[in-house]
Amino acid sequence: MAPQDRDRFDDLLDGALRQYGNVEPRVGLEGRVLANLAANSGPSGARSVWAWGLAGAAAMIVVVGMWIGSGHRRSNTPVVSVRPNVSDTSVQKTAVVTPPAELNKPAVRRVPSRPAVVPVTVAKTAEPRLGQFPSSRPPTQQEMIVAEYVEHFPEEAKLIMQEQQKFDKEVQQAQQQIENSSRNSDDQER
Amino acid sequence: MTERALTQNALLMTATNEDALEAAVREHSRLAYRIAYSVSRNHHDAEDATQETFMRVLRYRRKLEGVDDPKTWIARIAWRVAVEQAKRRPSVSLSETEIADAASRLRSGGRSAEEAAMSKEMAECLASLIAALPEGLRDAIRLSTVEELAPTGIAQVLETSEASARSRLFRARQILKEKLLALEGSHGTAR
Repeated sequence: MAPQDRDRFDDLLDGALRQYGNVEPRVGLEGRVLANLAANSGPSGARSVWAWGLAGAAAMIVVVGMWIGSGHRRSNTPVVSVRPNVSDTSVQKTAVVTPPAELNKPAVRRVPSRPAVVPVTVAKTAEPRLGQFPSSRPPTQQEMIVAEYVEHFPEEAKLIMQEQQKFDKEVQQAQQQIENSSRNSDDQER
Repeated sequence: MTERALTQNALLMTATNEDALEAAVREHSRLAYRIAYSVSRNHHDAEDATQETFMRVLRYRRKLEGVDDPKTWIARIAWRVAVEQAKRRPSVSLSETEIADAASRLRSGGRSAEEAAMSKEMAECLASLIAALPEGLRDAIRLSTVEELAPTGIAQVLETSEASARSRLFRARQILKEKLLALEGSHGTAR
């Protein structure tokens, strides 16, 4: 390269590099930077307190929600094993009046113990929850009459219950006999 | 340290106060912007980088006691911010053909060296040539275009010795000149 050319390229490069770096920011850059700093510097402490407060509140809500959820599940567990027949009004009456251990027996149906499937079906059938049972609704007129009767005549009520149980047993036995006889006749036909 | 730098340092050190920070913004925002622009070649990105630079100054202002020269300190922050930003955003540079086209347009007008240097074609061509340089040389030449920075300042920003910075600048200029000459030679004879 000739010295003249070298000089020309030096000049060209110097000029181009000067032009390359010759840039001015848009008007008001300082103001925008200062405004941004002011927005981010002043109340940062207060904002962090707010942020921590909100985070704490959110965490508490989650914890309480989980606690209620787990308690709810626990209260639902007995419903899985025993499912009272809601449509039968007589059962509802006895459930209010007497201890459920004996009297509920004829009205309840045992759910087969299938641990994986049962909780799902229980949730879907919307049965009364034991945690809230008897429900908060006021007793019906019939229930109040029965309760009043039991209160005033406990002995008679006990006798009625026993009679009812005997009657239920007799009915069950009769049903079994009918079933057995029908099976025998079927076998004989074969 | 110069008297001016001492004054600036004192201003920044004493403040946590807003006046000193404001003074720093007024004095060095243009420098930060130019450094950022030398990397991004984009006004929006350069302004974003400038904002981020002073946000970092605000965040680390308590560490200012050990800072000898606030100008270099801010320049270094601006450089880091701009480089980080450039890594996140893909750069657009001209292809070989586009560079050649720009060079031919540069030559075709029958302009003087000064006119050619000022032209848009030259700016595009040079930006692409600089972008194609090796990283160390590219950084040095980019910072050299910021008029506020002398080779000492460039060395401090790049955290290297002044001799190394000067050497990088020399080599970068050599490469750029060779490439410009080659481009001109491939499209015609130099005037």
